[in-house]
Amino acid sequence: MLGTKKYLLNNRGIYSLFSAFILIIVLITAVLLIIYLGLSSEIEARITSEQTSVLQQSNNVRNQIVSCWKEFSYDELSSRNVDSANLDIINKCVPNLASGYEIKSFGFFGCREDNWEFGNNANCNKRTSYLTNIIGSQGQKCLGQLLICFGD
Amino acid sequence: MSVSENFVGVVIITIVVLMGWMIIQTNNINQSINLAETNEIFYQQEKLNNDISVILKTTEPITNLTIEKIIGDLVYSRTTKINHAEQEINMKDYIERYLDSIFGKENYYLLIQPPLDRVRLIYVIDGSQTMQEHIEFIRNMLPELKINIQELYGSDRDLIVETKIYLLQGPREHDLSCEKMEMIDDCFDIPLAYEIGGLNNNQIFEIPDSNDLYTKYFSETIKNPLSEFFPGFIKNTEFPKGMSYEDWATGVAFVAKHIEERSIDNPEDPTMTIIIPISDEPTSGAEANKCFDLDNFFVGMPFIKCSLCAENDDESKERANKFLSHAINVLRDYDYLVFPMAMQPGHILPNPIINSLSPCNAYDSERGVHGSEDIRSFIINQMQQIADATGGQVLDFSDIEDDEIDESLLLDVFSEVIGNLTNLEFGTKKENIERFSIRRVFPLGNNSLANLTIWVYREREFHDILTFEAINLKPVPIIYTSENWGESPLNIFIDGRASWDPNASYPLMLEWKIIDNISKTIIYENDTNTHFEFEFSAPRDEIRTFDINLVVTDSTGLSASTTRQITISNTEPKMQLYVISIEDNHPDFEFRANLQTEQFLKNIDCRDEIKVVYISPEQLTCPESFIGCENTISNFDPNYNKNRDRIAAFRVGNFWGGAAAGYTRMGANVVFSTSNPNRKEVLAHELGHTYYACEEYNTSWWIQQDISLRRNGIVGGCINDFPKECGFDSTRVTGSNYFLGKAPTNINFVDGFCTGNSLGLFGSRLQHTLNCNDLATTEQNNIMLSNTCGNNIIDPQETVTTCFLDNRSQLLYDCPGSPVYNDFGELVGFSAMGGPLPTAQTFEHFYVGRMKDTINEMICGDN
Repeated sequence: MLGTKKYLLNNRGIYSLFSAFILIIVLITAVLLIIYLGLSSEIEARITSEQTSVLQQSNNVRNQIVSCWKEFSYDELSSRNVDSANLDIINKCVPNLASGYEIKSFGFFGCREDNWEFGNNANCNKRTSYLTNIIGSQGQKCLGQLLICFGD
Repeated sequence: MSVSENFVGVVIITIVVLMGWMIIQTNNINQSINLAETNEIFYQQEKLNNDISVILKTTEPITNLTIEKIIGDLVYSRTTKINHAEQEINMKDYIERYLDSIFGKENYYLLIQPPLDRVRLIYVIDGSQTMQEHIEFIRNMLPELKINIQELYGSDRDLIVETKIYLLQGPREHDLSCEKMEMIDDCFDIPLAYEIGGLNNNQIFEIPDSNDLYTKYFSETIKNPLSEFFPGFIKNTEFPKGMSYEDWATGVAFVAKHIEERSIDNPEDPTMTIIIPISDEPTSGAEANKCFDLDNFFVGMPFIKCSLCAENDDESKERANKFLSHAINVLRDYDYLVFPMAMQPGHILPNPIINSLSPCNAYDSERGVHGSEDIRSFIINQMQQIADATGGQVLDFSDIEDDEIDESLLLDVFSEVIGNLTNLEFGTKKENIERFSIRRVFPLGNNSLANLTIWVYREREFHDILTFEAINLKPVPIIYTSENWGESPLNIFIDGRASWDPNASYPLMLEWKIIDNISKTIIYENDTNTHFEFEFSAPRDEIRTFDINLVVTDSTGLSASTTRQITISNTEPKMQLYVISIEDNHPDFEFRANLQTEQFLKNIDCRDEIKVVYISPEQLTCPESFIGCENTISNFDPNYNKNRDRIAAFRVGNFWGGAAAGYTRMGANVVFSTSNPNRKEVLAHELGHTYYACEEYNTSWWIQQDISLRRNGIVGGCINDFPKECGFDSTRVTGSNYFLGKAPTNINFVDGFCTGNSLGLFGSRLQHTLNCNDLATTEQNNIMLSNTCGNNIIDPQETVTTCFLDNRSQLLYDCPGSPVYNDFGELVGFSAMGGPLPTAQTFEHFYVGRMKDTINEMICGDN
């Protein structure tokens, strides 16, 4: 019996080692799972919120700005830029999702190089750009760029 | 089972569950990433679509067109260059630099593919003796070439490649004398060329024995003096010889016409037609004209004797060039590309003994006839001309043996040709690289749609728009002068302020010079004035011309100049034109009358010698009567010269109850015209009649007036040519003044026809000469069509006048209307109303084209 007992004692030692090993594995796995869970949630959130929605939002904002202005022209852009009476109109053309936007005209094809800013374009987390036509004084369509600023 | 064993089991199950959850979560993340990427592509494409629309709508200042329109025109016209202010501009490079600046160089690829369903390769092969070996080679090579082109271009756009062959077969095979003018009619009964049917894969072509449709067509078309072909190379040429199997240029023109006649082209079935003449000789052959005069020199050896005189024979070259230029003129009406293929010349070496007896003494024993450098360069030059005129290019195999021309060589040429001609590419094509791309339709110059594909490579997606350096164009100098001509002395206001610079490189510097063209001296020089007045004068009995020269320099130093000529007269006028009203109340008389006089004068070369005398309605009016109005003017101005001067009498509205915008008599001095600003061509037209010009817009009326003039002793009849543009080219009915035409199918020609078409009875109802038997001989249901320019010109203002006569009854005599007399009082028909008058558009086309020269000669000539 003693022999048997001794044998059992020896077996317990092996079991305890095995149990301890399993426990360590379980703990490590649990930690990894928690880390993975946290990271994957964050990755998924980033993917959906930033990469997808920013582009979509940006296109929507661009469409809102264009539909608000109907068309960009040197004359109207310049007059709105300096006319304080038109501030309300300007602000209406800045969609809520963006903090501001800038319109640049290029000096291509005999057009005047210029730029006009609306809203707050100072602290942009992200800027997206779209090409746009700007009507010149002779009715010609010049090349311009609409830069949308997404702030805090 | 112990507690510890249970615990281990639970742990393992938990781990398995958690691992499963991790796999699911990973999969979700992958799906999210994929979705995000898909969304990104979608929104980037939306953005790119917007950007490309903006780019294409931008206005280019040189042409004042949108980029979209320019690219469309480049594709449609198959050219890349335009000329602006003496500068040649490569528009493709220009637009490519613009796109480079926006997308970044080598960061995009833009492809415009015009619609193309079919490529038709039509070979026109010189069938002469020296081409026999080439023909064998071509016969073996073409089927494979067709298959390869089909595979190369047909696979991705459902392109069909067709091949057709015309083998030129000359009359000389039958009778050499056909090349003589007096025998020319007989020659036309011999086929000039045979049409070979469509070439299938393994089919070889053979010359058909019978004279088929082609022969009939040729006989009917070419023998008709009104044919488009006829005047160019038979009737009006001094070199009737030729028309032989080497005449590839005429063959090409014929084929172009043939395609149209058969209505093969369907606008909804976009087709590119490439015509490939293949020859080793100049068109009309390399033989010297002298050869044709040797009939009696070497009896029975026509071929040999003709080989003797080819060298340095300018007359034969001139003959060949006449044929070529006519062919080019015909081809200008078509959108076909000509790619002439020059084959290695066959050397014809005549017997040296015969040559020593030759009166021509022009034979080169080493180079033969076709192979001389002189003739070879002439062939290439001719082929280059026809290629340049049609947008094609020369395929020069004149230095290559046939067995060295393998099919792949030709395939390369045609592949490049078809590829270049069909597509327009910008940027750099990179196949295996991540990119955003869109496809959309693109409007072309001919209202059809092309496919537009643009790729923007992702590796350089985000970049700043670079500075685009536009072409530094020369400024555009513009001179405005208050007058361009007048009587001495004349004070003229001169202004250069309209000059401009496409690059807006202002300020502009203007330098003026006025030069007396007789003394060649500078009589005025200034570089500070933008505008000024200057008094011009000419000595007694002299006409002086002066050049006003303006050099404009922009701020970058580029300059351009222009010159305007001023003519000052101090002589007796060639003609005085008295402009007077027949109505007291004539609003804006001088303005309205001036529109008409300017329309007349702008086509008169000696306008500076015509004095226009405006007489205001307040000052004087004249009655609507030829004699009464002339008496009024002769009483008003003792200098009125009955033999020299003309009187233009205006009223606000039309004449004859609204039916006529103007009228006069042949050879009269007075014309009556409406001053309607929309009918400013009327005065010039009526003044033409006073010089015996006949109706330039109506074939029937022209014939009528021509007959009347000749009957009344006007030698030569109408001074202007028969307006065949107004008519049609079908056969004139023998012995009558009528021409066959096809009647519309939607008209009932039997009952009530005339009452339903009362507009069209004037001008065609020449009953006194109508012979219904003539009409009965026709093949067109015995229907005759009177023809006017209204049939040919799309103009909503034009009254299209047609009259159809039916020989089966005398219905035409029952038509309503009143008698119509010609200018000599002869009954010419019955009219419900007046016929069509020329509108401004028809007038510009026909008056300037057909009456201007003759009127000029009458007014401006020394006599």
